[in-house]
Formats: sequence, C-alpha cells, structure tokens
Amino acid sequence: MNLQNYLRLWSFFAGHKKWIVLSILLSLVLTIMTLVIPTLSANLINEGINKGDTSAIFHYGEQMLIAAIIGCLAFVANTAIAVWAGEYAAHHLRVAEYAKIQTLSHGNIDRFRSSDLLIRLTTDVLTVKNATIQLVLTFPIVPFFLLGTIVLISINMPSILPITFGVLVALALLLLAYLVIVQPKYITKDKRIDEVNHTLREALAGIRVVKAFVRQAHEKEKFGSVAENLRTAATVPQYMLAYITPANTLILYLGITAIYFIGGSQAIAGSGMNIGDVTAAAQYLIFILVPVYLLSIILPLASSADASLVRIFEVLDAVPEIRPPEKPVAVDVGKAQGRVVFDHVSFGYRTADGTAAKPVLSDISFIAEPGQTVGILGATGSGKSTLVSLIPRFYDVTQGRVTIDGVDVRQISLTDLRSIVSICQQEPVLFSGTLRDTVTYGMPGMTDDRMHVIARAADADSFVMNIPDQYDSYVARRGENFSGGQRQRLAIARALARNPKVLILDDSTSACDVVTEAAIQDAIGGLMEKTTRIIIAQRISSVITADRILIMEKGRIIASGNHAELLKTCPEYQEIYSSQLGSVPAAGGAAA
Amino acid sequence: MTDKQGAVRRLIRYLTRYSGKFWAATFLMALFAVFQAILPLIMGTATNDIVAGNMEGLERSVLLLLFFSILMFITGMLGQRIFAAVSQQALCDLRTELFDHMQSLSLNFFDRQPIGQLMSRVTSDIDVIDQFFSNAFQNVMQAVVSIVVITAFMLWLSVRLTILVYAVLVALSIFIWVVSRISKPAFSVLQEHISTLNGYAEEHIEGQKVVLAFMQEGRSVEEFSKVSRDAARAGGKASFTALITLPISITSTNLQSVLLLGIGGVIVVMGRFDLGLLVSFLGLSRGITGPLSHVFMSYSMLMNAIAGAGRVFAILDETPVVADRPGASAMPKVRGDVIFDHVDFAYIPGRTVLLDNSFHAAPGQVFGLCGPTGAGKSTIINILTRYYDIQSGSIAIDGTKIDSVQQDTLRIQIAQVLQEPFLFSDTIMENLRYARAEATDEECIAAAKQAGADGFIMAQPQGYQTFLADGGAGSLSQGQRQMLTIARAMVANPRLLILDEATSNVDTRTEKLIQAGLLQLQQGKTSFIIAHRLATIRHADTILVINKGQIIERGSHAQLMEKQGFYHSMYMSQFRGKLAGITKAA
Repeated sequence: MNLQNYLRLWSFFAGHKKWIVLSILLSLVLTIMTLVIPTLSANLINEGINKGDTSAIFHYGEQMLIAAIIGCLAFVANTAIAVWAGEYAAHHLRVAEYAKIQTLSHGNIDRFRSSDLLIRLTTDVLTVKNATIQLVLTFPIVPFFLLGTIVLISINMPSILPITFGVLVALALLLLAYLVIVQPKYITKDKRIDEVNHTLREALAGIRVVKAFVRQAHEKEKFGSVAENLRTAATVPQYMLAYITPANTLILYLGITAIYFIGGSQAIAGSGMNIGDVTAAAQYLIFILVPVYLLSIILPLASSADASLVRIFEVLDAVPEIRPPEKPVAVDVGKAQGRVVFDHVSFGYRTADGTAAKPVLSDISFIAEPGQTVGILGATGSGKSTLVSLIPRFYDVTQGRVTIDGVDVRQISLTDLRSIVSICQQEPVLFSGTLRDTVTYGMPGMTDDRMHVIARAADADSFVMNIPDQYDSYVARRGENFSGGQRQRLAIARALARNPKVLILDDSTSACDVVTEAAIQDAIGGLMEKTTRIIIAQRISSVITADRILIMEKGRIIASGNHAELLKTCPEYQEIYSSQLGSVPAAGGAAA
Repeated sequence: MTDKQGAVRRLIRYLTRYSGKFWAATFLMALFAVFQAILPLIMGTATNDIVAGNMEGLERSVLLLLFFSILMFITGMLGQRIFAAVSQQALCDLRTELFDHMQSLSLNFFDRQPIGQLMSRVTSDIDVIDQFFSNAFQNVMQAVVSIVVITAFMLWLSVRLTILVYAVLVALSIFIWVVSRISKPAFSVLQEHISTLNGYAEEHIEGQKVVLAFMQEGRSVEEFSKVSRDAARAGGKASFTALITLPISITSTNLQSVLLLGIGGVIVVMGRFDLGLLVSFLGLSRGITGPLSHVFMSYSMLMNAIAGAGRVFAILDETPVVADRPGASAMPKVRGDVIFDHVDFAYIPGRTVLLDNSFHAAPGQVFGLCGPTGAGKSTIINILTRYYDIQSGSIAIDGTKIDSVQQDTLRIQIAQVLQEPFLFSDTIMENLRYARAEATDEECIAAAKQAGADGFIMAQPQGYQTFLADGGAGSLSQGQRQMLTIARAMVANPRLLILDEATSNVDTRTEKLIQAGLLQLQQGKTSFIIAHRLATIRHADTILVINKGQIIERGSHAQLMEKQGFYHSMYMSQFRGKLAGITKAA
C-alpha cells in the first residue's frame, strides 16, 4: 500500500479538512465513553451492589446512561461525517476524472480502452468511497481504543497487564495470518470465478457451434473442471477461517479465564483487585478485540482502495496526446475554403510510451479541392479511416503534413479546426435525448427551419416527420430504437448541421440502400456546393460518381482517378468492380 | 410467499443432499452455541466463588472455563469446516446443473435475450446465492440457535430480567425495522441515480470521440457533474440510514447493561438474587444482540438470494422445445437428398414466418437462398438443422423425416459456416478438432490446407499449437477466423453443408480468398448458401428467391435474369441510381 495515494486523496478535501478533524475528535469522545462504561459498572458493583447501597447503584447507573448517550451521539455524528466524506471524495474524484477523460485524445482513449475507463470512473470510485467511509468512521478508533484500554488497565489493575499483552499479541498474530494467508486465497478464488464465467460465456456465445458439432458433453466436461477448481479455491479460505474465527473467541476466553484466576485469587486474598475489577477487566479484554476486528475489516478495504486510487490517478495524470498549438494561426472559420492537402504523410499509432508503432499510412499525398468529392476505396485495414482521422487532428501525423487552405492543421486552434471539419462515422454514436437534440448536437439552438433543411439533405426528415412526436421523439441510448440506416442518416444530419467546410463521410451510408445513398449524396452536393467532401466506402457504388477515387492498399494509395479512368487503367479497381457488380454490359457501356 | 418459501426450500435441498455432513455440521454448531452460552454462566459461578471467598470453587470454575472454551473452539471449528465443504459443494452442483441444463435448451431460449444479458444475470444470480450459502444461511442458522439457547438459559436464571432484556431487544428491532423502511426506498432511489450516472458515463465515454469532434466537452462535463452530485446526495442519505443501525444497536446493548445492573442490582441488594447470577445474566444478554443483528443483516442477503434463486430455478425448470421423440432412432448416414414438403413455420405461434414452402435438393446440388432482410432465409436453415420444429408439412433427408430421429445424430451430419466466425479459446488445432473429436492432427492440417488456412496458421508464433485468446479476436482478422471455421467444417466433412452469410462481414478482397476454400468445401455436398451479395450465389444450381416467407422464384442465375422478375430487379438495384450518375459525371 502506498501512503502517497492517500495523501493525494486527502488533498481533495482542501477547505473541508476541519470536518475530518472534528471526526477524529468525535472518535475520541466515542472511545472515552465506551471505555468509561465498564469502570462505572465496576463502581456500581463494588460500591452499590456489594455494599447494598441503592443510591450508589442509581448514581452510577445514571452516569453509565449519560456516557452511553453521549457515545451514541458522537457515533451518529461521526457516521454523518464519514458518509459525507465518502460521497464528497467520490463526487470530486468522479468529476475530475470525467473532465480529464473529455480532454483526452483518441490515442489516449485507444490505449486506456473505453470499457476500462468506465470501470475506473464507476467501480474504482465506488471502492474508494466505501473505503473512505470506513476509514473515517473507524480508523482513529483503533489507536484510541488500544491506548485507552491499556492505560485503564495499567492504572486500575496493573497485575493483569501481562495477560492483556499476551491476548493482544495472540490476536495480532491471528490478524496477520488472516491478512497474509487467507486474503490472498480470495484473490485466487476471484481468478477461478473469472474462469468459470469465461467458460460459461464462451459456451453460451457459441451455443450454435456447440450444438452444430454436438459437443455438449465436451463443454460439460470443460465446465465441470473449472467449476470443480472454483469449489476447491473457494473452500480453502473458508477452511482457514473456520480456525481463525473460533480461535479469536478461544484466545479471549483464555484471557478471561486467566483474569478470573489471578484477579479472583487476589480478591479472595484481599490484596490488589476486587470483584468489580474482575468483571471490568473481563470487559476490557473484550474491548481489546475491537481494534483487531476493525483492522481486519479496514485493511483489506484500504488496500483495494489503494489499487483503485492508482488507477484513478493514472487517468488524472494522463497527458492528452494532441497538444493545442502554442501560437495558433488565425483562421477565419466563416471564410475558410476547405482545401485539404496531404503532403507525404506517414502515420503509425503510438504505443503507451509515446513512440510510433509500425506505420499504418505511408507517404500519402493528395489534394481535395473545395467543392470536390474524393472517394476512398480499399479493403478493411487498408488505412482509410486512419487517413481521414488525421484531418480533424484526432491523431497527429508522424511524418509529412496535412494542411487546410495551406495552413498545417497542427497550427490551427482545435476549436477552429473542428468547426471547419465535420466527420461522420460508419457506426454512429448517438446520444440519448430527443431527435432535435441529436440533430443539433453540435449546434445547440439552431432554428427549426434550418434543422428541417439539414435533415432533408440527410434523408432523415421524411422518416422523422412520420413518427408521432416528430423531432420531440425520444432517442434511446446508442439510438437503439432506430434502425441502422436511420441512425446513419441522423448522424449525417448531425454532421451537416455544423455547416462544415470539409465533410468526411466514413462509410456512413453503408446501411442505406443504393437509391437512398445516391439521394443523400446528391442532396448534400446541392446544399453544400462549396464544401470539400471526402467519402470512404466499401461499396463501389458509393464512390462511383466522385471527382476522384483513391484506391488504398496496406496504407498506401496505389491508384487514383475517376471511375472511367480507373476502370481502364487500374487492375485492382477492375477486380473490385467485377466482384461486386459483375460484368454488366449496361454499366460498362455507361462508364465508357 | 409460498414461492419464496419454495425457492428457499429448494436451495436448502442442495445442502441436505449431503445429509450426513449437513446434519453433523448443524449439530456441531448447535453445540457451539450451547458452549458459548455456558461460558458466562461459569463466569457467574466464579464471581460467586470470589465473593464467597471460596478458592477451591474458583479453581474448579476456572478449570471449567478452560474446558468449555476449548470445547467451544473445537465444535465451532469443525462445524464451520464441514459446513463450508457442504455449501461449496452445493454451489458447485447448482452451477454445473445450471450449465448442463442451459446447454440442453433449444435455441428459442437463447433468442429471447442477448447472450450478454443472460450471462450477466446468471453470474450475478449465482453470486447472491453464493453469498447466501457461504454467509447468510450459516449466520442465520447459528444466530437462531444462539438466540434460542441464550434465551433458554436467561429464562432459567430469571424470567423478569429476561423480559427486561427482551423489552430492549424489541425496541431495537422496531427501530431497525423503521430505519429499514426508510433506507429501502433510499437505496432504490440511490440505485436509480447510480444507473443514471453509469448510463451517462457509459454513453459519453463510448462517445467521447463524438463529444470531442463536436466540441461539446464543456457541456458534457457540466451535465456529468450534476448527475454525479445527485448520486452523491442520494448515496449520502442511503449510507447514513444503513450505517446508523450500528451505533444504535451498540447503544441498546449498553442500555441493556445499565438496566440490568440498575434494576438487577437493586434486586440483589434486596437479597432476592445473587451477584454471580447477575454477572452471568449480563454476559448472556450481551451475547444476544450480536446474533440478532446478524439476522437483520442477513435478511437483505436472503431476499436477494431468493430473487436470484427464483430466476435460476426458472431456467432449470425450462424444458427444451425441440425434444427427441421417445425411442427415436439415430439418423442413418446422410447422402444429401433434402425434401421440404409444404413447410409452415412460426417462431411465435400465430406469426407465420414461412408459409407453404416446398423444394427438393438432390445429393451434391448447390442451392442459393436470397431475398430481402427478414424474408425467412435463415429460418429455412434453422428448421433444416432442427433448431426449431415446424408447425406443418415435413422435412425429409434421404426420405427420413428429421423429427423422427435423434436431433444430435442429424445435426452432426450437417456442417455449418455462419456469418460470425466463432472460435473457442483454445489452440488452433483443438479448434479444428472441435468438429470431430477423433480427428487426427494430420486430418486437421489437411483440412486447413484445403481451406487455404495453412499459410497464415504456420505464420502464427506456434503454428497449429498457437493458443487463441478470446477465440482469436485480437490476433486474427475476421477473414482468417472465417477461414478457420471453414477448415473446421471440412474436418467434420459431412454430406450436407450450410453457409449462412459466411462472407458478408468481410471485404471483397478477403471474400475472394475465402471463396476458394468454400468452393473446395462444397465439393460433393448438398449445399445451402445464404448470401447478401448476389455475386456469391451466381454459380448455384438452383437459386431460391424468398420474400415474405415464401419462395417466389426459383431457377439458375441465367434463368432468373431472363425472367426479369424479383431476382432481376434485386440484381439490377445494385447498380441503379448510379448508372444515371455515371453518365452525368462522364
């Protein structure tokens, strides 16, 4: 465990540290009140019951009552502070982490992976929250209780001090055994649980394959063996606990027995302890168990919270890969032309240490003129999407440069750059909200008239107007209540809404049929005549009318030209053409 | 309520299966509780001995204390150990039973919900049952025994003081009950906030790149901050109500001591009771609050376990819809003659998916199936492999009706290559052998060569022995994985073959590579090929065009094109709209 992580967590409480101090004071009050009760009860027995003095009984009874009530109030108040501290830490960690994530570049996100970031933001924060509550609530009690008990015993009944230490050492050893030997067994158990879940998931996900090849018996055997491993792994720590829990009680009673023997002998002999002391001493011994028990709960919690803090701080300390330019070149977004030039660009995704891995794009050069449509064709993994993601600077080139209207994109402020360039992806991420929210996501407050114009161009207006609530209809998470084609059209509308000077459609009409796709392309051409359009596609029909088509293979442009030129000169293009569309005389004739 | 009791009883039956051990553990734990209760009694005797100055008595009491402490340790340890063994065994039984049963269920069960959802439900349900077996059940059992034993001893010592203790306990119980009435809704409010928070976070972290592209970072942080603050507030309320029971129950124990000492002390002074008994009573009464709060704490665990068990048992009680007829014989070796005779089918009764379809595929013929999405192409495959039973008509292979034979013996004679290549986390070799357990290494390698997969397999770090983590999702491309599933189908090498959109998820160049392997696979087999891209089925002997659950056209590619019908227009629509564009551009 690393204290530094907790110090950093502590720094989140800046301006509110007085509450934590108060909490420690309350723990002190609670400890004192708890410890004073057996002393009072010893007095009640000695001076009240033993001497037959009823008023002494009531006197000490009343004091015990007051102590109990003050202790209770302190405990309740401390609980409130602990809960506040836990939620306060959780909220601030969460928001800081979330805000950080929103500034990270694509490269950072790829390396963290979104699913993992989500865990860091939810599960890890929850772990820290629970540990914080427990720590504030109980951690100060441990030393207070230990010290207080020992002080009381050494003042009132020094003769049982050796017994106390004996019990304490024995309990501490058991605690150590629990932390060092038993706790790790739970980690093994968790691993076995993962294995069981993995096997289950695989068998369920592949149920068709299992049934097709009639291998249920094989899967059963596989699952049986991981389940058996889990059973063994789960039994081991429980077997150990079966010793530890009763051993705690045994040690305690051995101590109490010793107290009765030693203290009792003294009382009978009339020297040293009396009967009230003996019963109080037994109670003190039970108190010794409290800090040990608390530690057995807090320490595992604190150590998992420590691991979570490490993961949270990793996010907070991440440096966005894309740095905004220090002295951005002033660009008039409204007057930008949108002439995109790739000048001998090479690119490779960076690894965790920031060095570029093997190149994904090599020596890419081309020009997309304002108002032109450039199509990009190529197999999966040929680098098409990577290429266009360099334009809005989702990633930075490793060599060469990308310019817009002659200015290197790395010199344009990110706000200006991303106002000029709009990109629309194949699997569009739509956020929940209304359809209006969705279309106007990048342009909140857009007029309805404009929205209709935009949506019409994306061929979305017609289906939206057919839904009862029209633009007020609810869009579920990921747009799941709309079909793939509808989602893509909504995403196109969202991209168009910002009136970009450079529009990139990354296979973003793949779920629409050919006729719809053609209509959308024509409408966009009409609406944004001067916008540079870059269209990535799998289907040859998507780019057939482009001014220029780039053919990509393994990160390089291997050919470029319009449809007619490529059909004549480029064997790869001919191959794609014939495999997708066959050799239809009508098409060949039209192209020629 | 009876449902809940039923679920609990059924859960407990998993424990009582091991009745010897189960009752031994129960007996030992009862003894443990008795010894635990006896100890304060002896402490009382020792107190009396001290007050009376009886050294001999004290020595005897001390020895007794020692004796019973050790007995308590032994019984507690043995009881817990045996119980742990039984409960883990019970859990293991439940897990494997559930797994085996799910494997035996028909596909309709898996259609009802996404695998991911089913998976996470089953996992969390088993998890709460685990909590129940390894924690709650034992705690409650032990607590109940303790409470009964301690109460019995207390009653034996003093009825009046017992009533006093119970008065405090009842007050505490009422308090905890009231708090739980408050905290339960607080927790469900918190749950709502947490799922809103998680939902928002998930959505916007998945979509972080969109937030960035549209420059909405500021707005998104502001929204998240609000959601987070709400969750923190709700969390504060819920945690506070849950945690407040601890100080209250501690205070009630203290209160109990004060009352016992005060009132009991007066009774002792009045001479109606002796101090030793009071000390014993005090010790006993302290031992009752602990078990009581265990019962309260276990209550919510118990409720969760009941809900989880209910869902698990619902799965266990599900019967496979497609069942072998009693005494069904094995499917004889298939030649590949397939006849559909007036077949009707609906997944959900009343909603017909296939209506009156008939066709005949002779051994070795290649059949292509095409039509719009949802037309029923995959359904034809699902009923041919008898994943579902048809409503009327008949399907016969080599003249044998498929519902008259054991389904496993039918299915093992049909090779399938599906749209999503599914491989297991195992070596490449074992993945190939999956199709036929007794296939030799040589046979598997030969199949891989035929499928054109040998080249990239040998390029893997350990060739055929390369382990595919996550079924090769990270290390192999989609096309490579598909080639492995083709090779796997070749290892089985039966006379019937189904290709269900086998190449629709790969790009055209990869498809060309796979196509060679697929053509090899079709050699000498009756093949059914579903395709999205019509070019894929152009070579088929017969193409069935399916629309709205019916075969509306059939014939070879050339025949169908000549006919100028539905197929022709589907084929031409791949170009339409663009032809005009090309002319315009040119």
